[in-house]
Amino acid sequence: MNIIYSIFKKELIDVLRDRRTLMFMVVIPILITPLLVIGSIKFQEYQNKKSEEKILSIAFINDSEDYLIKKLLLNQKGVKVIEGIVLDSLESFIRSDSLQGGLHIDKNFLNNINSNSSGSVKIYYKSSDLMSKSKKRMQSALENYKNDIVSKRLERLKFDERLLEPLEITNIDMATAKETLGKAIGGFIPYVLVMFIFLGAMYPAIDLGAGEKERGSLETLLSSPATKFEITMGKLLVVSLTGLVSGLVSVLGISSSLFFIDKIPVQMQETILELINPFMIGSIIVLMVPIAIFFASMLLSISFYSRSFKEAQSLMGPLNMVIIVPLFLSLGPGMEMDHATALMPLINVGLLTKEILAGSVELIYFIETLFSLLFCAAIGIWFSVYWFKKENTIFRV
Amino acid sequence: MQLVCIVFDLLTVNLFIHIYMIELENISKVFTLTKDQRKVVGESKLRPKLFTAVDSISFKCNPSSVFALLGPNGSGKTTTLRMISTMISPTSGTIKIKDVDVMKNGREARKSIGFMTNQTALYDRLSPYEMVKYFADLNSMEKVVFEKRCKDIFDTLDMNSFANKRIGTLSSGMKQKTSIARTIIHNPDIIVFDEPTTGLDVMTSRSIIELIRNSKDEKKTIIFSSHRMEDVQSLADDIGVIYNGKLIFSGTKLDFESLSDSSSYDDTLINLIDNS
Repeated sequence: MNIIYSIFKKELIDVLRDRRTLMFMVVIPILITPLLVIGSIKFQEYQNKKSEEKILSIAFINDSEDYLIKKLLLNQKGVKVIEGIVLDSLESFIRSDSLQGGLHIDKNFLNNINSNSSGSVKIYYKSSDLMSKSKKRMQSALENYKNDIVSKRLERLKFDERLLEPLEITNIDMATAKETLGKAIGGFIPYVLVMFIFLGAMYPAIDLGAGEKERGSLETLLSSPATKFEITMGKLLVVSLTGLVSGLVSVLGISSSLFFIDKIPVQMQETILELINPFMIGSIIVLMVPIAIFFASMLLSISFYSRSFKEAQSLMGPLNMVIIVPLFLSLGPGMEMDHATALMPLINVGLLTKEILAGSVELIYFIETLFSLLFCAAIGIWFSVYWFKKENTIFRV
Repeated sequence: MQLVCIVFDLLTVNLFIHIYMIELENISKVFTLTKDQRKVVGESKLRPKLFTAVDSISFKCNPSSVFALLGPNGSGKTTTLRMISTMISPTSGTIKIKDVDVMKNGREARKSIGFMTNQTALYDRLSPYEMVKYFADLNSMEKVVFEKRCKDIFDTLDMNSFANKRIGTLSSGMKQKTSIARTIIHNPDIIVFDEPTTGLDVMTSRSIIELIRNSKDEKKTIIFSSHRMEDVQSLADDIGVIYNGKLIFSGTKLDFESLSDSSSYDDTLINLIDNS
């Protein structure tokens, strides 16, 4: 045990003096995560504002005698009505972005409306233009027109408008603000958390395995009384710890960033403060420990196998995908926590974090998830020790 | 009568129960070749993937002696030294370090060994003191014993002026001294040097040769591999020659010299290899 502690202590000192490791372990999570959160929110706000304020040029091709639609269209905010466009050239104008949309009123439109029939109107737009709200604005004008015609028709028939609304539906959302927010940001947090555990553990793992080979210090270490098991465990503990710290710092970064976003309602700020409670922090740390050990063992095994720092980096690259895919799956629709998903590594972390943040976690799922992660961590430890004991791995030429 | 018994016991211990510091008995090491290695040696995929690096070698190192292991590149010297240092296990045979079977008690055997190569093998972000302390801890040295031994070594090697500086900032000479201090901090009875002077400048090589000479004076057992015959000539008591994994010669320096009329160790070695 003393030898494991000696290796742990030495490796920790060595790692903490490495600027690159410190950068990935502390600086990037504490700076990048708030920038990511604040940046993406600000960018989305800016894009929304820009699209709301954008003046859209809408072609109005009227083959009938009706002028109400044009009036209603002009009443829409941010709409510039362009007339005199020929129907045949409308498509090319919209495709080339000279126009953002077009409305074509059929020549029989007014006759059909007056004879209590349906008038034909065609809306031209580009669904690929995500920023454009032309369809929404044209539809809004036509909706107003439709409501007006329906009212007039019912009035003419002396019918009450309530005839068309047999149900009076009131939606009552029973979810608390904490649950709503927890589910909304719950998908984002495990993603950041797991990625930073991985990134935080990556550089120390490379340095402690492949780096040791490159320096030639592995041979002298192996000729010391320390056993291969003790060497692996000492190194594994340090790599796990750096991953864990990196993950914790990233959560701290996300949490602190929420206080720098203006326009967050007081109620939401209170909810955020309610979310960050000792139970939430404790539960997430408990989950992070086996994840960090598992990642550390995998990264260290790759590092032991690699001949050089460079080779280790290139071998670790694809591992990113192995992590991202299950987390991405946990964000998918219909993915709910149950006895099966609770046993699927990383998917369970994504789902459980959402539940923890929403305050709706069930103990059995927490235990199942923890058991599954601890199992992975144990397999990881066993594998890295086995791998380090293989002569073909450490003296690979 | 009692005196006769004591004398008899002493004679028995000294003459008949001789403990060798290093004892190799029919040691073999077989490696499985990787795909790349098979291409290099021209092996086809269908042929066996095994490569015998060391083939049934046996030799012994006496206490307080210097054993030089010679042979061309790829002959099996490093593999043999790695097996002695317990970094890798022999495929067959037994290795004993101070009568301890390395396969049965590797940790105990390693406590008696110091290992050094031509690489300084240091951690740039540690200081020489931290580096040496780390290896003392791995050897479970008592704090008081370590501090005294460390002071002695640092004084002898004139390391006090840079003992607490980061190794990464030190000159190559200072690094070499640190490497030496790390190797001998636990006062090992056996020191293994794997081509210790290969690729080093004259000054640094000299410091290694000095270390071997001083260790010999301190009655330590040394085993080293080298291509520099002048080092072998000046340091070795016994010589072993490995070629293609087989030990083709093992004997004293005088035995080696008597193999050829030439005074050049290079010529003797080449003749030996050619005739094997």
